[in-house]
Amino acid sequence: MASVRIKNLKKFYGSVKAVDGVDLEIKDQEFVVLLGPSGCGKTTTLRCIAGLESPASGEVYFGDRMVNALAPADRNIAMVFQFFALYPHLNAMDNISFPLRAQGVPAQKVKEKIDWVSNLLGLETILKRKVQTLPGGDQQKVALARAIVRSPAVLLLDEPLSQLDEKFREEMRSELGRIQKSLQVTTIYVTHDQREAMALADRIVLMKDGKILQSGSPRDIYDNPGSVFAGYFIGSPGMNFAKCVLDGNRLLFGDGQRALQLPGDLATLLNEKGKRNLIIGIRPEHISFSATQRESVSSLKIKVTTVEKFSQFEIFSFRLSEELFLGRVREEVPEGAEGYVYFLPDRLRLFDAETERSLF
Amino acid sequence: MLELEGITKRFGDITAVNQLSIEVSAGEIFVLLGPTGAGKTTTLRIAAGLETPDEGRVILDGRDVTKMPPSYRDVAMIFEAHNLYPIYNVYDNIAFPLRAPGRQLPDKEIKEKISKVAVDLHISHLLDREITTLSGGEIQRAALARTLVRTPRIYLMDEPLSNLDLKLREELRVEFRELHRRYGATMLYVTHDFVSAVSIGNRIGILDRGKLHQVGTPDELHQDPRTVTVAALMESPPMNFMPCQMAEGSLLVDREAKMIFPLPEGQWSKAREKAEDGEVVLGVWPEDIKIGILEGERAFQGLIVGKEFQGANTLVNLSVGKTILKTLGDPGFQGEFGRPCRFYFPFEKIYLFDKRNGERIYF
Repeated sequence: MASVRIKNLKKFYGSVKAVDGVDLEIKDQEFVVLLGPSGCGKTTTLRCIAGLESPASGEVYFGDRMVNALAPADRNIAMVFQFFALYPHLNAMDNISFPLRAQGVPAQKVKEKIDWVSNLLGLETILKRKVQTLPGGDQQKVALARAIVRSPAVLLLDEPLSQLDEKFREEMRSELGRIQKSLQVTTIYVTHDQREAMALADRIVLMKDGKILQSGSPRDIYDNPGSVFAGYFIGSPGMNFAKCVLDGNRLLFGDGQRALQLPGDLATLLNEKGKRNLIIGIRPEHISFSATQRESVSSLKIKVTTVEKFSQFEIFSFRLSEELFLGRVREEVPEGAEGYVYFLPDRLRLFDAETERSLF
Repeated sequence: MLELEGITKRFGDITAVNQLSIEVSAGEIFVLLGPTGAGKTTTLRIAAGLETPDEGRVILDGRDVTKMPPSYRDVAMIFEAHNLYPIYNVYDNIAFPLRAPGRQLPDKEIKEKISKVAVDLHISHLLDREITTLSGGEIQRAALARTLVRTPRIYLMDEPLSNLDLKLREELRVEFRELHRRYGATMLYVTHDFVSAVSIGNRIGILDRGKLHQVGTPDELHQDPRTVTVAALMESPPMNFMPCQMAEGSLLVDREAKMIFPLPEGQWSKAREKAEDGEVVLGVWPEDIKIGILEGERAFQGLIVGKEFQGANTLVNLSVGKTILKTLGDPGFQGEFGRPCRFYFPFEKIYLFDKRNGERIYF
């Protein structure tokens, strides 16, 4: 059991600032996901925590103990990588027991541990199989079993699902969530896949260009993205955005031909901020469509470009100020139709067009 | 338009494609959906003329082209890995098929065609750039432009979006539909990605281990899957499958976990008649399972073993004995890990499959 604290962590590769001043506190038993596009510094941060990289500056603490000077082997961590780092010629059991035997754990104890972990992960039937004959999902389970069999204080996972088939990936994702919750081990998980982050994290730490952009529960970041990037990156499809200009209690789009009436309190709040050039953000499920204009609700006239029909909902697209917008609705929307879209007023998010940061 | 008739293709002992017949109509996007190794790419290569089938015929616009080389078929193919020439810039790459021997359009016409396709694919500003300086999404757009700049009889697409990251895939999927509307082209598109298949395809053929299981619109396949394989591939999230026995008047899923699903009397005997040894698989879509506080005696009880916030809803995994069920809750679903949760699904929403061969039992 351990909490992890990182203070002003920096790591440079030549002129590239891979990690550029990261501060992060991870509570005991917390499942934290470092999320971001490639090159955002998430893996380097993880590797600094593991001790596989030495930071240019900054400190890493496990509990109250600074571990900067400790070798990976002395940090009581376990790490699972994107590529299954297993011994292909050994069977699953020997792979899992390897770290225990290396530590000189007595045979009886090793057996108990193996029974425990194979029961937890459902590996009973494959223990005797050579790992190279196993499908990718099972290989990654073996790698995970080997990581947790030592009961590490901190579990570090670097894109552990990205090499798996789509189908396996979803299964393993659920498994991983269940296992972490039963083990109650502090877990730091790195991924570029926002679905994994949303599904697994107690807390998502969104990174970009070596810095932390935002940190919060999946629901929190999803509902209140702190920046245009966060809204775009989290959610599938992501948040829709368009540039607009604040004009009294209206937002004007494009050449000013189209306007959206704002609720009074929101308009007041925005005017107080004194910014006129804004970016509006709205999630697909907060957009609705109707062929005729409803009274007393502000709408925008649009033309439906495409419709994707799924079993429980449809995704329709339209353009607003040249931007592609997607709406997610339950009722049928005809492709090519002209009509009106409505944005749920309390779900409207507004960003400063210059900084692309949320205005509230 | 394109007909594949009884196509079989073997590689050594492996039958990659087994007696496959499909008909792609003019202006349609027909998607072949299946896992790795299903025979999708082989089928596409046979349509293109890059492989010759061991049995069956390929008919294009009423003509038997089975033995004709690719260049005589007037088809355009786009692959998963792009095949742009790194030594040329974007413009010259797109122009390449138009300058090919036998076509050699005048420069002016080439220029017009390229400007049009570049506008449609939002790459007008990239035409002078070298391929090596482009991002993944830009490369895929350029590759798509090179395919679309021609007007062949049919476009053959092999997972053109699968190498892209999720965000780009989402954007390009929608643009793909837009393009199709504009160009009205006929396409045979193969993919293992369910979401692409549903969003792009007019009709989908489900292919697994060389065998075509079913052809239909996404809706038809979802409402009436004829085999376990079809239901399992129409995922996101996939159907729940519970192996069970037909006990008197009910389906016995798990006696210890008190998971016994009663069937109306007449329906039970009908189903029992068709399930030869009484071993069946009960299927139910995640969205058809109601969870939370439920009135009435017929609810079952499970434990929450997973909770994944997905934005517009929450995926909730419930364990009942040895079974784990995927269900969908509201975005604000409050249940906690390890806590009990009641659930229920009505008789009208269940599917039964024969356990031996995975075929649907209609009753």
